[in-house]
Amino acid sequence: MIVAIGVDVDDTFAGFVHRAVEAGATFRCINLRVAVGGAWRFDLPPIGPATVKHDAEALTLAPDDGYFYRPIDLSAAETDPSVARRWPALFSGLRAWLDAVPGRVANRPSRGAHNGCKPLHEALLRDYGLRVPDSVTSSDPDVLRAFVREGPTISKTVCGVRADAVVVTEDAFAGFDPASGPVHLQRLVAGHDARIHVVGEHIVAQVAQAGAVDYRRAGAIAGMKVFEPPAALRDLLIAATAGIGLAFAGWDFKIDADGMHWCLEANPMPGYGPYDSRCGGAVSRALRRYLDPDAP
Amino acid sequence: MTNDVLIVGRPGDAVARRLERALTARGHTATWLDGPTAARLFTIRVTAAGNQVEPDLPIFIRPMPWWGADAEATADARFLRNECHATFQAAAALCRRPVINRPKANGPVYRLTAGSLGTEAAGRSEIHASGPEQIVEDDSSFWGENAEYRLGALATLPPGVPVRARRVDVAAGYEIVTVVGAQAFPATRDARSAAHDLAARSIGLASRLGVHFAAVTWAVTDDTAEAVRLNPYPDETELRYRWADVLDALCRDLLV
Repeated sequence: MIVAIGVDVDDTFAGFVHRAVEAGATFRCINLRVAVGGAWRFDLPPIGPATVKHDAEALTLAPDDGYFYRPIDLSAAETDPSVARRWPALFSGLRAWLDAVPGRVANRPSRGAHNGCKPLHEALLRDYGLRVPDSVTSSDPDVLRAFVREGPTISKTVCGVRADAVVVTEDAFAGFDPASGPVHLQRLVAGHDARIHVVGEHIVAQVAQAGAVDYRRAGAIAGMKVFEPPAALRDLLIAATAGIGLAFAGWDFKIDADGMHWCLEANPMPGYGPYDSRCGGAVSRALRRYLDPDAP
Repeated sequence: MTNDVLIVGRPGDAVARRLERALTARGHTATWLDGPTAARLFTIRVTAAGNQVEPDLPIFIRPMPWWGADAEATADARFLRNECHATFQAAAALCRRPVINRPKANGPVYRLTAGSLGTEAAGRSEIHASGPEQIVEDDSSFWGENAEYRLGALATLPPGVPVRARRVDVAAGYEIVTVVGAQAFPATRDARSAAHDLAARSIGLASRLGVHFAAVTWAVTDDTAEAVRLNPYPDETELRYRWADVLDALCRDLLV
């Protein structure tokens, strides 16, 4: 049995549920915005079922069910402090339980957090054998200017919060105040963009021919085409996804003029909806089958 | 940066203060910074050839209110705080010199309770529930801590307030074992601590969780010992029984 846990206002979560309904899959759905106002119980270690009261229905969650989990904490939007306090309590129990259950979880809550710590994330990806562009993270204007002088450079957030990657020049650091740092700079790789979703041992790879710095902002998702990555890369990504402890990851690459695949990041909670739409729901289908081998 | 050790923590942290004095008494120096200031100290290079963190110096990390201070801050200030936090975590994870406690790939290890430690005695699981009324088997032996930070017997906690609870053996005593790397320092000389081999078991538990420095609290009876809490940022109250030993071990392990 598949259990989808998330919030209804998350397009990716809603898309997973919509495609599961379309496919006629048997699944249960927990909308955390409703569950937070209801009742729950998680026993650790998870030797028995957990219960979540959802609307008027008490759902029983088995430790060996398959879980699609997209945690989005909406406590900041709560005006009632007593409700706001329930969010971290619900997440605390749910996280601990999903980290410990023997069933399949996409993804276990404690995994892949280094995506929110870019220098560490890039170092780990390189250690898995992936080709990662050089980077520097610093608040020192001399260091930042020197890196920019050495070649084309983009700036990204260190903490991984969603923001556009932008090309920077040395001028950007004229009069730079270290108090406005730190800044994460990465060597620009010119080429096409690829998004490769890994679900267990299944891969859905797509490429955009835009050649923009940030193809998503350039509107290039709509033109993405499914492609077959090199076998060695495919094997590497399956191994690295498992090595990070993830069942599901959205890998971003730049493919340069020589056909080299440069790894930009592995997203542990990818908003994969727009990509799924371009490949007939192949990502959602792979997720369902990973979580329940009998699922359509 | 010419000092020997970087201490990162809030001003007035009593454990950091003790360590700073201990380092000074041993002829070393320490720089004590808050998290954001420490983050701006570092340059991290990640290249095909490897990682480089400058300055590369021993770091002793204490709990920091990374976000608590930002409740009234602007979105830009909160963003910068997140950038600093990510940078500091990366520097502490990637530098070559000793870091106590070094963040793991998925972040620092925070305080763990019985359910997460996986050392519970048979039948004494930990329960996370939306309120005490969900724990119908309560026979007055369940205690919990709720979302309002109230601690007590489950029957005394208000309904409808989320709670984390477990069955407590009221006859049990408690031992605190401080772990510093390969050394462990029980707070008491109680014979049961030796009989249950709590020093070695505490070292094993901390090692399994990837924590160099921690206070492990055990619920102990004549027959059993159950780890009920592991605090990787021990408070002064947990360390006071063995200050000299703990400081010796910390100084030695930081200055390797």
